[in-house]
Amino acid sequence: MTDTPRQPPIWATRLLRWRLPAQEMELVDSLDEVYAIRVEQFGLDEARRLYWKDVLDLCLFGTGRFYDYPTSTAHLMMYTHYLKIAWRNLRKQKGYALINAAGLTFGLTVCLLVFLFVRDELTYDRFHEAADRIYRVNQVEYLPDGSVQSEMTYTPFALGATLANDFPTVAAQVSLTHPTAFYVRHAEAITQEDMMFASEDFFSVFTFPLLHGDATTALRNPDGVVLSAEAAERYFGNENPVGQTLAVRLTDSYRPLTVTGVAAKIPTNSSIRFDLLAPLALQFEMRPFFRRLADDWNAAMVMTFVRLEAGASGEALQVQLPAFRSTHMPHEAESVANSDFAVQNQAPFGFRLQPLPRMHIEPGIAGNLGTPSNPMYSYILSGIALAILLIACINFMTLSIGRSANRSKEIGMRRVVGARRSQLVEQFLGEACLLSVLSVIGAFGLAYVTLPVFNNLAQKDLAFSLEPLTVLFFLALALLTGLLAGSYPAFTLSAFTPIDTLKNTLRLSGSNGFTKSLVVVQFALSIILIVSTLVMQQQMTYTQTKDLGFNTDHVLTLSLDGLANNTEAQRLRDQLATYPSILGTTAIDAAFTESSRIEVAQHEGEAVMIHTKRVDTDYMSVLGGTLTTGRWFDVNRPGDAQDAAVVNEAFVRLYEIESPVGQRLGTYLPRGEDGGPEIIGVMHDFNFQSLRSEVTPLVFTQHLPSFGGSDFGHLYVRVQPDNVAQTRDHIAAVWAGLVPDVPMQLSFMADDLQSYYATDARWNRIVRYAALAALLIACLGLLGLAATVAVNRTKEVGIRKVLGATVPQIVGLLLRDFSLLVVVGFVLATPLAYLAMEQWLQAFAYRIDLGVSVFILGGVLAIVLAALTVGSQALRAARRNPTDSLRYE
Amino acid sequence: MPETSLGEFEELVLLAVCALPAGSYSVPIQQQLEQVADRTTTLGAVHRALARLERKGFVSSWMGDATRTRGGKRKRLYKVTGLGKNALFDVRQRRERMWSAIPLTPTGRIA
Repeated sequence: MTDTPRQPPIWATRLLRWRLPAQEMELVDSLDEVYAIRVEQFGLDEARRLYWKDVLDLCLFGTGRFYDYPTSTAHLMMYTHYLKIAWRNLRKQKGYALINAAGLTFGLTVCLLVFLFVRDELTYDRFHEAADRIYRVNQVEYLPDGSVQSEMTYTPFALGATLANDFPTVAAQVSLTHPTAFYVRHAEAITQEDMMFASEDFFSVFTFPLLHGDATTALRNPDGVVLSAEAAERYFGNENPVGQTLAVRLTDSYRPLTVTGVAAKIPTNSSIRFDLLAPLALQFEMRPFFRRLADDWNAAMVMTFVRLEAGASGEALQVQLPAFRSTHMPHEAESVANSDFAVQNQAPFGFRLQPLPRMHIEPGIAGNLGTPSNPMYSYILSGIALAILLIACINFMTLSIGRSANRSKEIGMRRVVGARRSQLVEQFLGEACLLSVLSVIGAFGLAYVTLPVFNNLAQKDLAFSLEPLTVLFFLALALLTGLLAGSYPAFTLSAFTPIDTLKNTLRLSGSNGFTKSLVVVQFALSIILIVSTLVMQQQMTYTQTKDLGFNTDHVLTLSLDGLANNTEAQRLRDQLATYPSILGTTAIDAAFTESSRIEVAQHEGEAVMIHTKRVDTDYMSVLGGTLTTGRWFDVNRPGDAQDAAVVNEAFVRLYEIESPVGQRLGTYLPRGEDGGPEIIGVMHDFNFQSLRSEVTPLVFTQHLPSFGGSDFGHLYVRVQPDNVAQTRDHIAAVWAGLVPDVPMQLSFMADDLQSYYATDARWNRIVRYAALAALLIACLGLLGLAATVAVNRTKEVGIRKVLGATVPQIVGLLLRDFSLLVVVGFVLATPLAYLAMEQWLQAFAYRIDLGVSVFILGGVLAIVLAALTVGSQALRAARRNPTDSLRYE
Repeated sequence: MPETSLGEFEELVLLAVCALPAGSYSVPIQQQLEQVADRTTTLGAVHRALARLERKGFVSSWMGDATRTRGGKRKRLYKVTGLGKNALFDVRQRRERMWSAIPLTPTGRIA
């Protein structure tokens, strides 16, 4: 903005000239004078600043004379008139208005839902009163260079109390276990509930108000338990359950507990969720080995949370933690005395204070609560929502122009009777805003109705609760959208001169490079999403149908959790074996889809995870699999029970073993002095994990240390395919006969394996919905464009008809021009879709190849829809009576 | 007691109009205000006050000749009316009466 010193700021002057009524134009000169004076008196900068101030003052407050605004009352009447006309116009063009509003409603609904999602995500755990002062104490493992190797939430029992003791800024602390499912019995019914155990001061750290019971004493008595509001309602209905009893199966019998409190409904965005909350003291009472580890700083068993005093700083405390750790865990320093750690003066382990609100957005920590999510999702979703809204606005614009063609006469007449251009602009902006406000009201309704579906997709439990501020925000957003969307048509339409309109030589400007390229982009996006959906679906089907290298069909997984010991397990197997439809059973320490025992071995400088499984000799006949060399465990060879191991090919590859059979496992993995079991066979690789991963090294043995209870956690049962339901019932009956106290957990192995892909299935659904949405929006955009073009070519169509063209011929003519747009969109989309899907598929170690068919399918679908959309407009234009089109010529 | 009241800012503007020769426009009036009354305002405020004063009948205005600038607009020129003079006089009278009832120090401050 360089102006010669004598000239006031140009843009301010321009603004003034635009806003001032003609009669008061003298003020421009007057302000120039004042400017000159001020330059002399105050200098250039101050003069310019004051000039702007004067201009804005006049723009906002007017000149005070009756033909100016905003003091005039005439305008109020004009606005009601505009409103009436706007309403009338909407009703006259119900179809178009509805489609227009639908597009905008859709965009706003998406924004609203995304807003709810993002708000929930970003405000996790903030509802606690002291949320900013509550920290979880994690244990961190470092590398010698100081970077973080891993982090976990498991800490010693004594940590909390010791922290409170050593540091006065720690106002309260609590030790909290992770939620585990336990069987709860009440009134003869047994259900599974998520249970957490906490030390006494749980409620003074966290803000979970109690509907019944006293927070300070609820967890004092080991026999007490606090219920969640939902659990209380399930068991006791509406009455106050304090004092009543529930029985919980903690070890192998049911222990009665007394209800000491009911917690109010836990907000959906809380990482800490429980059905039952019992005192940690109960675990100590029931489990001797907890007691043994109570003061052991090497045991990492529970989460520790601290609440700092008001005004205390987490950073200040964090700095003191390394010293704290070496005070209470001195042996660590000794153990790294001569290693790289000592050289770099870096402790191998440490404590880290993790702010409570950050728990949800920091994934990658072992033992995390709930499912932390990547804040990236929120950003991506917000970006998508805004993009959708932007496109909806632009479609709104083109559609508005397209449907305003009929109003050229009205515009002309208004100009003739004296409307200023700005008045016309206001009128059209008003109409756009009315439509957008109606859209936003529709959006609230639509969002409310579709929230359950969205919750399902997003795996959340969002409630449709909006503060007044939010509602206001969205109304403002709608108004802004209306202004934005309506501005282009408002300005272009008001520019018609009366002569143009009356002579009907109008040419709408809604069809130009910008709108055309926008349609291309929208279609490209739709095609990308359609192709993505198809590819993802293909991959999902692949995961379901690929041969995994072992028997997965007609195999049931039965959890042995609840059986007292191996004897009971054997009894169960014997009973099941007599049933003819059961072809075989094999026991395993943990089902493949549950966690495995993992040994971490160092190999060539890297940490490698080796899965170990404890199985029995029946494994091969039930689950199949082939051996590349060697043999499986033989029931007739007693040595196999303790001294044999079978590895898979991946294991052999990892260690590059030449002839594995006969070697000792201890050569590769840490084992006792005897060198561990002898490798007796190598199994062909099979996919026991998600197809995202390569097959990891696996070691089968028949002997592993056990932790009490039954040695085996699951039983695989192979059944005959034709009467599976009956077999299920039989198994249930046998189970109930053996362990009536414990509900049976039986599932199909195939279903279990699919659980690996639960997230992928969800994303598949999301992308599918997004594809539909994008298609919808693209068609709307195309509709606007087609409508505009059809109007522009009215005369041409009329003449063609007069000269003998048939309706199909004309439709074909109009369609041809649009096919180019879709083709360009297709050409744009294909490489992008290919890249995107290739990238996604790379995450899978086992995947399909990208074929041509998906791309063709996507393109065809887009073209068909485009043809239908344009065709509808073309048909309308082609059907018009030529006398109407050519009337004024 | 006049039927129409005179606001504080309007009073100053009216005084400025009186101080200047008849037929002055908004710019000199604003300058007078700034220099003598030490009151900085936007030009628009002065313009609006003049419009109000005219509505109340304290000033009268007419369009002057075109200015010498290119495409210059005719300026609106103001002079005070008899009604305006009376209004000012009444206001001053009222003030003086109130001040005379207040004990003052020799330097004119309130005791």
